[in-house]
Amino acid sequence: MYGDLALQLVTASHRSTLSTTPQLPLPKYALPLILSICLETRQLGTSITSAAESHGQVSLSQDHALVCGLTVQHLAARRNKRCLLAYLHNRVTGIKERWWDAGGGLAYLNSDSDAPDLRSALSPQELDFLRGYNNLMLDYKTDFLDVLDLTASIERPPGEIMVDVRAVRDAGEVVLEGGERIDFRKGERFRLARSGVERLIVQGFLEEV
Amino acid sequence: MSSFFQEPDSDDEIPQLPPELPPLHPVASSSRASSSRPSITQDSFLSRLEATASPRPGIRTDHEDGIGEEMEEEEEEDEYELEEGEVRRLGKAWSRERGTGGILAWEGELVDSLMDKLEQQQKLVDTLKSDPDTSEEEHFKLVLVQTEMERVKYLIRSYVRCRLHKIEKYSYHIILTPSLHSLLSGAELSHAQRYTELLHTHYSHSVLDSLPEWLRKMDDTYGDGLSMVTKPNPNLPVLIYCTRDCGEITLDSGEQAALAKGSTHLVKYRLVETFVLSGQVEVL
Amino acid sequence: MALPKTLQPSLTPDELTFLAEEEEISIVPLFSMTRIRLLSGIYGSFQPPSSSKVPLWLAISLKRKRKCRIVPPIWLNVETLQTLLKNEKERGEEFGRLPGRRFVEVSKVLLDVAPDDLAQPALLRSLLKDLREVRQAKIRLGLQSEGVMQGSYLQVTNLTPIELTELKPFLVKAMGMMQALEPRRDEAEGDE
Repeated sequence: MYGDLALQLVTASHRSTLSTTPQLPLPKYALPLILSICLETRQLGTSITSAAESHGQVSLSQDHALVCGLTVQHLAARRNKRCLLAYLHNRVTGIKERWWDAGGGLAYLNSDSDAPDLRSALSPQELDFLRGYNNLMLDYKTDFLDVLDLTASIERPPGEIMVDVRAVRDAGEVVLEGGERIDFRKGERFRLARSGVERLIVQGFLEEV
Repeated sequence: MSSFFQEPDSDDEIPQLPPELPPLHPVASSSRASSSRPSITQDSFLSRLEATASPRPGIRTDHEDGIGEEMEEEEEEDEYELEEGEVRRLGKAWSRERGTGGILAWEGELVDSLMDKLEQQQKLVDTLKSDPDTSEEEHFKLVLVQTEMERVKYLIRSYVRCRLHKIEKYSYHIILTPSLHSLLSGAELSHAQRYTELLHTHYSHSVLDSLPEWLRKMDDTYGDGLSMVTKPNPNLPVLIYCTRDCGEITLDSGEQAALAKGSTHLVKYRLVETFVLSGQVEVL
Repeated sequence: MALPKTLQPSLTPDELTFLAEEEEISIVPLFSMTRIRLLSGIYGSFQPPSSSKVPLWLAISLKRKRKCRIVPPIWLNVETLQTLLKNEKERGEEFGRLPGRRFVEVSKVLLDVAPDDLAQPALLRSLLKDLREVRQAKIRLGLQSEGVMQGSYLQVTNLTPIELTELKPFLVKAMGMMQALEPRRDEAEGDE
C-alpha cells in the first residue's frame, strides 16, 4: 500500500532514538528504502498529473470516485515527503549531537575507537552537511576564541581549576597551555589545569578521577 | 600559605564527624559569632518565614549571613537590582533562556563586557604567572581568579549554546520573521541564515530533488496543521518566580491568577511573556 | 547538540548548585591576604579571626584548601531544621516557606564540603532528608488531587527551584497532553 515504506522508515528511525543512553551508533543511511519511497512518490505524482490531464475540469468536479482516488494519491505523496524529511531531520540531529559530543571538529569521523565508523553510516549528502556545519561552527566560534572555546563541555559546571585525570588511551606528547609538554600514556595519572585538558577529556583520551 | 602547596591532594575527603559532637567544638564558636548580633528567636524567625505576601520591611538582622538573607532581600529589590553584578545577571539570563522555548533578546552588552574583562584578566594572569617576582600570595590569588574565570566562561558557553540550540531549531522561522531579527546578535542571525541554507540544501540534495516539483517546497503546512517551519510553542508552560507584584492574569479558563511578589507559578508562556521579557519575573 | 540532550528538559541539580554558589556566605579565614578583585566583586581583606563575606564558590574553594572556616547560615542548625520540619508536617497540604530559594543546594554543598564547620552534621543531614521527604510526599499527593492537571496552570509558591525542576519535565508533558486534547485553535503549533 502507499506509504508502507515510509512508515517503515520512520518507525525504524524513531526506534533508534528511543534509547538515548548509552548512545547507539548512528544506523546506516537507509538508501534503498529512500530510493524506493522517492520512486513511489514520483509514480504517485505522474499518476495524479496524467489523471488530471486525461479528464477535463467537468469530470473532475463530478466524478466522485476520481476525486477520491486523486485525493488519496495526493495525501500519500505528501505523507511520503513528510516521512522522508522526518527521517533526515532525525539524522541531522544525531549527526550534530555527535559533532558536539566529540568537542567539535571532524576528527571523530575517522575515529579508530571501538565505535563503528561514522563516515560509512552517512550518505554523501550527510557528509556534505556535516562539513558545512563544521565550517559554520568554526566561524561562529572565532568571535569567542580569544577568551573561550565554545565547544568545550557544558555537561557539568566547573569545580576546582586543577583536575586529576587518568589517560584512558595513549595521546602522545601534547603541548598544554603555557607550553608545558606532557606525554600521555595509557594508565598514567596527572594533576593539571582543567582548562588545558578539557578537550582531551571530551575527546576521551583522559578521564577524570 | 605553604600548607596549600604541600597538601593539594588531601582536600577531597574530609572525614565526617559523628553526630555526638562535643558542644565546645570550634564550630560552635563560629556559629556563636552571631551572639554579637541581635539574637533571633525562633518565633521571629518563623514569623518571617511565614510572611509571604508582604514581608515586614526593615528586618535585616543578619548582615553576617548572605545566604538566608533572601527573605529580607525582597524589600530592597529595586535598589538591589541596580547594583546586581554582571555575573549574577548573566546567571539569570541563562536560567531564563534555559527555561523558555522561544528566542529571547541576546544579552550582548553583558556578554561583551564579561568577555572583555575575562580577556584582560587572562592577560594579567599570564603576565603574573611568568613573572619571577610574583609573590606566593599573588600566586594564590591567581588560583582564585582563575577558578572564577572558569565559572564565568562556563556560564557564557552554556548561555551561548542554549541560544544556538534554539536558533538552529527554529532557524527557518527566524529567517521568515523579521521582527525576531533584533533579538539576535549579528553572528547569531548570520548563523540562522546560513544554517537554514545548509539544511535546505541537504534536504533538497537528499530527497526533495527526486520528488515531483510541487513537493519540493520547504514551508508546507500539513493537513493536521503541522507546518514544516518549526516554531516555538507559546502554550508550553514555564516556571516563573515573581520578583515583584505583577498584578493578575486571566487564565484560559477565565479565572484570575494573582502574580504576587514572591510567588511561583507554572503557567503558559503566552500569558506571562511580557513579564518575562521585562524581567519582572525570573524564569526557573 | 549545541545543548546536550541531558540539559534540555530543565536546569540540572548541578547547574542549580552552580547558581547557588554565587550567593554570599561568611567565612573566617585561616590565613592573611589583602583584598582580591574578582569579576563578581572585591573581597577581603582576609585577616583572622575577623569574618569576611565571599561567594559560596570561593568559600568552598578556600575550605577545600583548608584556608578558612565557613560560618554556617543562621538556619543551618538542628533547632531551626527541627522547627521547619515540624512546621512542614503541621501545615497539611501547604508547603512551608524555606529559608532562601537555594536552601537545598546550599545546605548540601556545606554538608559535603564543610561538615566540620557545622554542629551535628549527621543529624542535619537526616533532618534535611526528612524535610525533603515530607515535601515530596506533599508534591505526590498534590499531583494526584483532582483538578491539578485540568487546567494549564499551577500555583507552586514556596516550592524551591530545585524541587520544581525535578517536577517540570513531568508537568510540561502532562500539560502538553492536556493541550492536545483541547479543541484546536486556528493557531498552528510547530513544536513536536
